[in-house]
Amino acid sequence: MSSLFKKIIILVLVGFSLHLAIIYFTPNLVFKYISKNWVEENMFNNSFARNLPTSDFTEVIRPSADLLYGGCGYDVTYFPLVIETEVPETYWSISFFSENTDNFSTINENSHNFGKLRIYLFGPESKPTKINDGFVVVSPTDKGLVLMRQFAGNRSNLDELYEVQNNLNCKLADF
Amino acid sequence: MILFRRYLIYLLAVILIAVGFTYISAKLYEEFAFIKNDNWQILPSPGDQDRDIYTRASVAMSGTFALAKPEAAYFHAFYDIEDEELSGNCSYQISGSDIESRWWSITVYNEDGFLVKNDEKIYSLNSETVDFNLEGGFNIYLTGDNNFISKNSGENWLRTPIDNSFSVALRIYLPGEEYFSKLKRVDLPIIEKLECRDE
Repeated sequence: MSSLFKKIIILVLVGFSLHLAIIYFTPNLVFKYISKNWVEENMFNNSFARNLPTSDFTEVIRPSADLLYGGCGYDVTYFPLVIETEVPETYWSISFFSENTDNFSTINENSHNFGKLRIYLFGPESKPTKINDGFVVVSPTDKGLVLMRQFAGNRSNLDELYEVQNNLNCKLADF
Repeated sequence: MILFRRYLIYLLAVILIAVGFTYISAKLYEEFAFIKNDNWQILPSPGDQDRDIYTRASVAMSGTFALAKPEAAYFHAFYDIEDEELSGNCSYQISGSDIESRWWSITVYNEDGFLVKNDEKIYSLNSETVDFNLEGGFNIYLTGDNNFISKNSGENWLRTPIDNSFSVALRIYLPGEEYFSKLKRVDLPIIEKLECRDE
């Protein structure tokens, strides 16, 4: 095999590896880009709320105009996160996304359909303690996003949904 | 200096090859990754943890924080039923019947993937806001033409961007687990072109 041919093969292999790395890390980079202001905006381990998306909303591509979004960014490196909310009388879900944007868990009306809801979100290195008063979710990464979706339907119950959204509470556990 | 130049050329070659592979894979991905159902296309597992790295990257770029199945099915249309690109110069009709699910919605996006600016601030129609006809079906007009809207003001309609291309998303929430095993065959609304302003 000539030395030029060997060089070409090596360049192609290295180029292909770089391509795989670009593809592999793209979701993490997108997450970093979206969360770049979360520390300043106090969105880590704190709840945030968004109005119904309009044409001015450019935070996330292809937002649903029928969903009221709320949630919290999380960092459960040292302590688990406790999420508390009321369940509305419409479609709702609380979904969990890891740093590579995987939706690793979703709790919705099929799991819990009335009253208050408490969820304990543990980090990958933690050992979940026995929990009797809520759901337990274990994140595969220390950081990520909790996203609550509420269906606004014909907008007749929008005030109630905004109230649920405003009462969403995310805080680090003290155990 | 000669050695430095040689390694610089190697580095540029590696970057070019990586960009080339990424470009080709993006083109092949568009062609083969989606399940097609008439004018709609869908990724079978957009948010799932076991999705491949190409799906994860593609969804992060074009629909970040998509839910895993069976929570939601996200169909997108960039072409009408005649396989022609959806254009803001033309008016379209979406016709279909109610979809068995917790709820569904149809939303129009501009070519950047954001909601279309309109004075009415109506960006979507959903299973609660759409007016069904007596047979239980529905028609939704997609148009950027004010004359067309005033002629059909009593009907379901959504505004499209003028001149530019656009896309339509059909979201179906909690359609049931078995729905995802027949994505190619499920009944979905049809998008037909009605008229174009420059024709």
